[in-house]
Amino acid sequence: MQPKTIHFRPGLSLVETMIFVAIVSVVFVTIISSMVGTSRIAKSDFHRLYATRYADDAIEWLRFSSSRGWQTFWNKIPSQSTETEYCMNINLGLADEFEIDEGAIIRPITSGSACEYRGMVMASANPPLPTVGPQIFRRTVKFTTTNITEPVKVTVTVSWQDSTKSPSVTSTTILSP
Amino acid sequence: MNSTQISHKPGFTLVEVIIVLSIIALSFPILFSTLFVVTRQQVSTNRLTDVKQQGDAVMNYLTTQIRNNAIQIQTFNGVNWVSACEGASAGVEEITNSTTPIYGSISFLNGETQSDSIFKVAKGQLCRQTRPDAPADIDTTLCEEALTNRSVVVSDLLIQCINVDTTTSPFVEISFVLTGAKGEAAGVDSSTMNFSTKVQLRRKTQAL
Repeated sequence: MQPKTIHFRPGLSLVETMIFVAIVSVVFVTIISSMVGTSRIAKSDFHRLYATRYADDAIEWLRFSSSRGWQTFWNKIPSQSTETEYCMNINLGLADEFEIDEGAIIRPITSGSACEYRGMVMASANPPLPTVGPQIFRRTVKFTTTNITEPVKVTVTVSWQDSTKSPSVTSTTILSP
Repeated sequence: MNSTQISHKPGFTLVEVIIVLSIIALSFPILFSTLFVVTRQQVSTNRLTDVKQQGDAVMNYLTTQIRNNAIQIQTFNGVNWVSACEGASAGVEEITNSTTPIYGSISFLNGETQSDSIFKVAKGQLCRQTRPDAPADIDTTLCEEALTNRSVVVSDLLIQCINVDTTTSPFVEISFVLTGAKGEAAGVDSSTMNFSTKVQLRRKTQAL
């Protein structure tokens, strides 16, 4: 009589199972986090495209204002302007007059009047431009000048609120008499 | 008497299979929804990039052409093409408005060759064409020279003249709206941008 042969294949041990689960978890979390990172970068690029357009738009508008009449343009820039940041949160109509303070097209940012992250909204634009894009941007401008015969340095900054930080796009130009 | 060989191969129990399927059922939606969001975001960004590239290109083209080569700007008075944008008195003159619609003409001098052109929106494309005898002859379904391609839709084209005074060369204002042509889709952000610029004519336009 031959002896009985029993093939016994044991299953995975607890340790093996835990190692497997740990590896799968790490891979899974890595994939998900890289996807989220990619999405965040794409979203940031999306907002940056709008921000660049808004900065270019402001520079264009200020260039027009200075070409239209240098004396008038220069007179409207306050002497303390190097220290002051102005808010330009509107869709700039091409026929709009360049105004600081009075027309509220460009207004100083003071403690009582913050420049909100509300996007470029219609104001006195003529003709009115449709409000497009995310309403999360704010646009500010700084002027640096010494006297009327010298060029004016214009720095336009468009910033927006991301999930964790406030990125921005800055565009600088020189407007000459 | 033959011996009996028993090969014991344990399979998964029903409970184990249910647990594995449950874990997969929980993790796959997370994975695919994340993938969906990432893809949609990339699509939005690509569309907006295209919109901005084409808008900038058109602006650059029109600005250069008008600044350097424009010699006459005309509007139609119902009978003839008459001079406009001569800076005689301060104010704004509408030259072209795709919404109304109004069509004006801009004459360019390239070397010795003069070309009279109108700009229009035809089937969503911004087009340049030779000026016809009258605006009524303009076919808005034909595009002689397309300045944008079909991946974007142009709307609200406006060209107007800003006269400052008699001593300052007039400004030509150009504005339009560009939108990604594939329309809105679930999860894809709107890809619309306004474009506007002003060009000061280098030489004062000539009266007819």
